[in-house]
Amino acid sequence: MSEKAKNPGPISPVGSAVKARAEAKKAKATPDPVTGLTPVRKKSLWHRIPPSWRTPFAIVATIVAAAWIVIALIGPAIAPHNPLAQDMTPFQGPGAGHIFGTDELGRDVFSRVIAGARVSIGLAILLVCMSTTVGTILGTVAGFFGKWVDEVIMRFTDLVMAFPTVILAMVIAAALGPSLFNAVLAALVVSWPQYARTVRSMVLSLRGADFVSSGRLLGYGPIRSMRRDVLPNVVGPTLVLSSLDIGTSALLLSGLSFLGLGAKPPSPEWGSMISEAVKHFDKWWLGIFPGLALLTVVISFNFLGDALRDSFDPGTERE
Amino acid sequence: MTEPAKATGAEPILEVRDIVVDYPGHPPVRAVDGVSFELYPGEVVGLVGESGCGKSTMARVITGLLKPTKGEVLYRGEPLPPLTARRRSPKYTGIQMVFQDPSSSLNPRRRVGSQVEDGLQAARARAAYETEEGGVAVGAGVKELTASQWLQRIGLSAQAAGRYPQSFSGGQRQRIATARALAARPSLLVGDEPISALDASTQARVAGLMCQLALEQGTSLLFISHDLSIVRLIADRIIVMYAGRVVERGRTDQVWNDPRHPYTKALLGAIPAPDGSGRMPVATPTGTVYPRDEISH
Ligand SMILES: Nc1ncnc2c1ncn2[C@@H]1O[C@H](COP(=O)(O)OP(=O)(O)OP(=O)(O)O)[C@@H](O)[C@H]1O
Ligand SMILES: [Mg+2]
Repeated sequence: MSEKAKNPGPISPVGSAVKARAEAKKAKATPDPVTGLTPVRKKSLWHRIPPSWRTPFAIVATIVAAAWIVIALIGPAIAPHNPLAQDMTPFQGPGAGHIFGTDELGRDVFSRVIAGARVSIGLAILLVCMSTTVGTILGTVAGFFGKWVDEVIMRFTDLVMAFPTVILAMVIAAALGPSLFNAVLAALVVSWPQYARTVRSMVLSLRGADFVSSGRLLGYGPIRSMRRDVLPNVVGPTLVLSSLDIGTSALLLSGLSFLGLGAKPPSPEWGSMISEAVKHFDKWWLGIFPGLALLTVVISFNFLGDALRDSFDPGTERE
Repeated sequence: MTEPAKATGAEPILEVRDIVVDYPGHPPVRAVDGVSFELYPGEVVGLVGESGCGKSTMARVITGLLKPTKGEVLYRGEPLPPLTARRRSPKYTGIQMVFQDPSSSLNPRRRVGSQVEDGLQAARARAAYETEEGGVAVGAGVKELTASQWLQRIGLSAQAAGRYPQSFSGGQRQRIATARALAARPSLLVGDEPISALDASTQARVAGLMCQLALEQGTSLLFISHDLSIVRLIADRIIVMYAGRVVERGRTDQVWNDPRHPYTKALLGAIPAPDGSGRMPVATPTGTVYPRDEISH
């Protein structure tokens, strides 16, 4: 109605409004300056999201993971109680005052789970960043220099990968002494080799790519060739690997804490909370809530990584 | 067709002598088996032969990307050092190549404009080097074009510079790679089937353009193709390879009008007649083995 009023044409206001709209549409769909092709229609916001992110799993995973990251960031602000305060009645079941109940020392489980997000997710991301960096540097060096440098680095990765991950991490953490810092260090030792191997094989295959050869023929030195031609093509797939690894890293660190090799008792950490809960099997709320927290973090970050991988996969990227 | 510069007594820009290339394997594959030829400044030579006869292998040897098992490559009369992990000296950046596979000839993560810009930069670096050495850079008198001007010259719009290679077709990518190589003002350009990703009607045009742009700045062109009918349009001389060997060589008109080797005759027989009736591509029926002795004109 209002549009008709805006276009008072002498003959047919409706007709001119339609025409004006059609013209506006035409004006928007200008031919692409390079290809000369006219886009069929403007993509809606929803369709601009890569298809791999539009699956129900990916959507739920994104929401859950985002929620966890928010909780990790602003945790203390939303926790109803001090996670370390022991001023409540111990072993209260979940109820009005304490929705997740209280533990053996009278601490609020809900507040501890929320505070634990910062420790678990924060450390998992830190760990992934460190192992990605170490692995990428060593993998690039191995792939680029080859020969004995490659041999040495690759034999190190073989050595680490010959042991089961968790057991090796346990041994290293135990040897270093139980502390959260040492647990991260132990996890780093066992997790960099997978990055080093992947990056190395990518660097090796890229080194023989025609565009890298073209650069070399133009007089690129090794550093420029790496920086311009090789590394930018390694970053995407490596980030996918890293994001897939966040959930697993959270699990590994909590596992070490569960075994008493990581976070020390008063600090709210999901693994150590579960390990304390094992002593009181009948008080189900002590273990189930940190366990669920860990479960949702692992699953949501894995689905995120999958979606990220699919959107980097050339097969599914084009739409 | 101009007379080969050989007649004028000029120094060849490139000489390959008895190149043998074995690829490792059990047993090793002999991809190239004793190939020799030379290329003179400002000359366009077509290297033709069927798939798998060793053309790309020769291209890699000539540019120094692949060290031959035997034989030597002389560039401006001196042995060409193969490309190692080190930076190639500006002395040798006058050798450029357009690779066969359009899907990997450009870096997918960089805009095409800056990739062409790299060619310009290489040209400047070499000009500086040659001035220092007291020589004269190739194409010294020719006006320097910008990256987007180069893209326009090979038939793309100036805006193409801001795009990534994925948004171009295979044929367009090959033209961009050609622009980058030519922007480096090479003395020698090796084009490894640079037009095979194009349709038949544009092939001749793009080959002609490439040849014209190369000759404008005094670049010698080694044009590799399996298509004799296109090569004959631009080449001064033709070298025919078969199973890793040169089987025939000569001036284009001689090879085209009077092929001596049975393999060349078969290649020519496969070209459809212009009246549209077309002859069946009987070229190299599987199982046919041709003699590998060279016949020269
Ligand atoms: N990296 C390699 N390892 C082993 N054998 C190879 C390798 N590259 C090429 N060959 C073999 O060497 C021979 C020549 O290969 P080349 O790529 O030079 O052929 P071509 O003439 O360029 O063919 P096309 O027209 O299909 O590109 C082929 O028989 C091929 O199988
Ligand atoms: Mg080839």
